[in-house]
Amino acid sequence: MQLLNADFFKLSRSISPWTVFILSILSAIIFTASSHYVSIGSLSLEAASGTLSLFSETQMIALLGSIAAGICLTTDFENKIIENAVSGGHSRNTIIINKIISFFILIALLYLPYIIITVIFAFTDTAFSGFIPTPTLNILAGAAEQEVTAGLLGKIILISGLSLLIFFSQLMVSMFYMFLFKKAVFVIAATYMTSLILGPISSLNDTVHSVITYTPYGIDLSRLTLEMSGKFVTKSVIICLLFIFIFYLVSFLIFRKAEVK
Amino acid sequence: MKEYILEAKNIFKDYNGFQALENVSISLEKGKIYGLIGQNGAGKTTFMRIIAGLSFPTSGELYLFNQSNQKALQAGRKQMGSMIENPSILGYLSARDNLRVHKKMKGIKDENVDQKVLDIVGLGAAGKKKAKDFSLGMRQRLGIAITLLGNPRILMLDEPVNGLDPSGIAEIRQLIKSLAAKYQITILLSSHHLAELHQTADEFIIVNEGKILKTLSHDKLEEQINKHLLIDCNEPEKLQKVLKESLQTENFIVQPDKSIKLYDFINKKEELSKALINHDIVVTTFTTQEETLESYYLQLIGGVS
Repeated sequence: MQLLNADFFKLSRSISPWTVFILSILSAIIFTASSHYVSIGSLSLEAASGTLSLFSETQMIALLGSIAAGICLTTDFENKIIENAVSGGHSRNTIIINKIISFFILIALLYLPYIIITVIFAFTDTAFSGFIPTPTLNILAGAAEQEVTAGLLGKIILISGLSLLIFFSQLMVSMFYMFLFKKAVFVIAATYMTSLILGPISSLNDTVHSVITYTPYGIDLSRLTLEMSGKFVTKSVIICLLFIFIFYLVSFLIFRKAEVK
Repeated sequence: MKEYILEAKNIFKDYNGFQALENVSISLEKGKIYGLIGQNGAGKTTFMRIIAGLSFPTSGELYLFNQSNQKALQAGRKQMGSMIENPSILGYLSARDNLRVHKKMKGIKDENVDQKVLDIVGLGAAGKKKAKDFSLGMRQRLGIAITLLGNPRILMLDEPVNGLDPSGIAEIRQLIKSLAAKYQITILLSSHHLAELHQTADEFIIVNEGKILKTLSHDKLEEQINKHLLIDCNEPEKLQKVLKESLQTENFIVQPDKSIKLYDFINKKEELSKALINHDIVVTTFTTQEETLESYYLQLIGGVS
């Protein structure tokens, strides 16, 4: 808790987390507005599914999450905060776990604007188009056909929670990169590149594709709908938790006996 | 009985074939100030980094408060303040907020401690100033303030007076001395300012090429660098015999080059000279010398590199 307190104290006084958070709010607004204008015919589907799709939560969390991992967490190596934590008697395992928790909270905050907008508009009569299959649009487009009940709210929370877990587990590679490279710029580049190249790699052949299926990158986000099955949820949660655990373990193995500089 | 705060036993550190530390063994007593002296790359920082847990020895044992297992070392480090190479400072935060970050990391709840440590290091009026606007000297002071959080029992300061002006250096010296005297804090200092270190430390650890060349107390150092007569002659063994038997003194050191540093007869040079002539000793060097820590150190490591 001590390290977590310190992390959030300095993050609250730094411009960079606020900047990425504001960018996330703007993206969420632009993305849901595009969906609405597509549904009422004011915006063409081609225009929305082109440049505007970059504002989807899948794209923005990958981008802003990579940036957050770099400038909010990895700079602790450059500012000698990690060094002070080690020389101050915190175990390396505690430091890794603290960073993972901090990062999870950061990702949750980045995803929060999308969740809030989804929850607000799911209970209105506003029309939305699911012009690309992302959890936000799946909910917004699907909720219009459903009655407003506590069950709907529960489903929205479940989808949002599962989406958050998937996004976070995808970005867990940044923890590994952080303890490997210890430089913000490399962490940002490597994390974002990983999320960019896994798509094309996945379609190389069937073997690669079947392996990727058992990672958070292979979870089909278009299936995160109000009708998703319990089996899909369970399988996705297990894959994500295992992936998080594996990258925690790899980070620990790297950092356990590493020179802290 | 001596109370050792930190003990290093036969520490070796190898970086891909480069021996950074070789068989380093030292014991640091409670309340004493230790000056770590060595050239760049001699192994001072590597040694401090091992103590701080930032690096691991290839072999050897480290004891902190008489404990050597990993858990106990971690617990021991909670009672340690260290500033190695550069202080851990966030430029976008004020001095006080920087201290708050470190207070939170150490779990310190005391609200007044920030101002107290800022006052101690002479930054009492600069608490609200952003650290990015600090001079190098102010950053050093803030770094020292951070190490003082949590009432440490041991302080490790790597080049703490870097960037400080002469009055700042004197202030930090007084601070370090008072911390050791008043609170019985053990302090391990490294500095290139040998004259400064000479005035601050109680004990000196001289390292060269990863090995400890010499450890000696301040008193012993004073003795070594005291005013003496340097005598070189054609028959060094005979000279030693004359000094012992005829002049009744053993207060001399034979140097590796067989020259002799004599700490007696400084004011009786005529008597000494006559004795040497009477014993047919041909003197080639006969001068009065007074060393500094720097000249002593350079002599020990074999001159200027």
